[in-house]
Amino acid sequence: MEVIYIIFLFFTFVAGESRSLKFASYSLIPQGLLIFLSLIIAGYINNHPNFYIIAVVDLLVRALLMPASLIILLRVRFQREEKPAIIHPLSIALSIVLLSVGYKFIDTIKIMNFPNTLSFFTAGATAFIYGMFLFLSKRDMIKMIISFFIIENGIHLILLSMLPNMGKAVEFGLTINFIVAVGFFIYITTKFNLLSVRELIKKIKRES
Amino acid sequence: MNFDNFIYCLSFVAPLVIGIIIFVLRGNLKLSAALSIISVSIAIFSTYKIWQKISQEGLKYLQPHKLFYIDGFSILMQFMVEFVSIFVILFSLKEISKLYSHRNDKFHAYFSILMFSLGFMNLAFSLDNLFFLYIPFELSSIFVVYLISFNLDKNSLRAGFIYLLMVNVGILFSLLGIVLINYHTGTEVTISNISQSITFLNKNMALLCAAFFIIGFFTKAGLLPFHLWLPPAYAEAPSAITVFLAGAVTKMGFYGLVRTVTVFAFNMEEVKILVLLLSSLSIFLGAILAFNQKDIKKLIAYCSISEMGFIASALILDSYTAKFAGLFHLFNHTLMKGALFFAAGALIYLYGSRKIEEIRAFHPKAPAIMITFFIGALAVGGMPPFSSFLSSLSIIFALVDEKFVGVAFIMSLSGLISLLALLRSVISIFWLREENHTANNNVSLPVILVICALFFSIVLIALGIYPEFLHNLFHRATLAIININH
Repeated sequence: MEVIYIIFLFFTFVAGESRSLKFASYSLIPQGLLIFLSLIIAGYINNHPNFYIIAVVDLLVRALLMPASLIILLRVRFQREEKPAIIHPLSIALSIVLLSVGYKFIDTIKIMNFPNTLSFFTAGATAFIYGMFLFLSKRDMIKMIISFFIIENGIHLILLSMLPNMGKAVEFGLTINFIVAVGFFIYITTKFNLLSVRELIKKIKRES
Repeated sequence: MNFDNFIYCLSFVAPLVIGIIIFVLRGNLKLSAALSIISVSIAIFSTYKIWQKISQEGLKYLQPHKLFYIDGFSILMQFMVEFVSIFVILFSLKEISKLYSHRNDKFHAYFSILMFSLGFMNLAFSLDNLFFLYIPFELSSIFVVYLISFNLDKNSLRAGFIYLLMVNVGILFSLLGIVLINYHTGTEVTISNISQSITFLNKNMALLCAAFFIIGFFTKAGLLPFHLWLPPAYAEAPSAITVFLAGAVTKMGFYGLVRTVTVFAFNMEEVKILVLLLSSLSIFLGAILAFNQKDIKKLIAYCSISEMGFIASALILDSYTAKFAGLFHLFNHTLMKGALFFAAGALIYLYGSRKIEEIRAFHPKAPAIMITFFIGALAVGGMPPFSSFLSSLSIIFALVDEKFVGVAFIMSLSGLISLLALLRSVISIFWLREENHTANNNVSLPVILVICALFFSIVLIALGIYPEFLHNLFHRATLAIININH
């Protein structure tokens, strides 16, 4: 399981720090797949059959539908990231520190304060904190949506690890909220990109 | 489901169902607005029936199906957002047909989304389980982004994006708070059992939960330091939607704050002090930042942040007087912002600009709007005979009573700064004349816009002179808050 979480955090890092927005969006697919995998395994090991349904929903929503909509969105804009608030090498260095040290630190906190949580709590909490770092440091709209994805995925794992027997209605309700929120993010970003493209075309025409 | 329960559910079912009908019918502006008014009227009727049941039978709360929890505070919030919605619809009728005519194929979506948002708000005000409550709470926020970005220009889209991102990430913290309590108590946390649930938490965990709730609900309410979404969203949204944001959407943050953070504050002094510190920051910086604004809506938005700090600082105190005054100010805030933003909306309707300098250049001649602006500005400053005078003064007394003299001082000073900032702009717009400019008052103001603006001003005066009119509603809402704290 530990290996799955480390790979999950690696893809989280790639999604957060890759300068190519397309590559960053594609990284969300393995991230979603690893959530699916960890839920299936945790459901089997800890005998939580409700995890199987949630895992299937996650596969559809977090691994396929949401990343795909981001990739489609990228068709109408430049695929390079806008300059972030902190320089890229520093951002990479901070990310590595946050993900590695944070992972170990949270694991210690988990053992001390949350002994009854499932194993993916640490990965979820690390992803949540890393998502917050991205949220504060990135300026690009797509990168901000990706940071929202990462925060959401982190919270999702925290929630399931702490309350594995929580009602499915709540979990589905939260997933619907996630889909609606991402839907509006995509709507706004698409409109924004279209406006930018139109402005650019006008500018080029004027100059020529 | 018996008939009574069906009537109670109409407060959220009617807006949601009619919202779907409006969306499917794709009717014109008038049909969509008419259907919206019908649905809000049904919602008001339903809320009134619940109020009647609770007040006549002397009940503390209603719990139909065990899934819901409706008390005096829920009813106050429902009435407030429903009345605001009625005027928002009326104002929108004229505003969007002129200023947003390029979106005329989406007018049905505008009203439909407005109804969804109202429906989800009313649902959130009625639910007991915090997990279930969180879902419509978040949905109501998400839908509003469509309305903020309705103009579809770069600024409005950017404002919508910031709003969506900040509010969504912010309220995820409140979800973490709910998860933490649930984990430590092992039972589902509800509004009715939250005060018992938090006794299971050790002090550090309780403080962590309270901090999560504060981040979540302060972001939703637009209080400092989580306010970054508020000024651009207020400025870029259609003026009617700005009133909806100020009078309904941000009030959801206070609903969450009252249902969770006040319970923690009742048991832990640290939480109370943290909220008071952040509120004081909002009160003071909101007023200071308002002073140099050149955009009329941003100016009112910053004053609004300052005013909301008053409310948070009152609601967090323990005494009956403080909570009563906080709720009264919550209601007054809706009235003040309604009057000011509708008046600003009327000026934008006439002159097509939000910039104070540009509006001033037209030499506005709209006496009703000028009066509304003056009333709104004086009410923000807590001047008599407006109802905000009573609520502001009561909050100051309550703060002094509980030995928070510093906060009371900051509040008085900031009220004065906000008043000066608003009066300066009003005088500059309506009275200062420049030689070079020629007056242009060819556009006439539709009566409905004037009625919307004046109505809120009249209620501000009426409640200032005769506050007993709504006393019972505020009294029951206050008792409801005290009831869940114990």
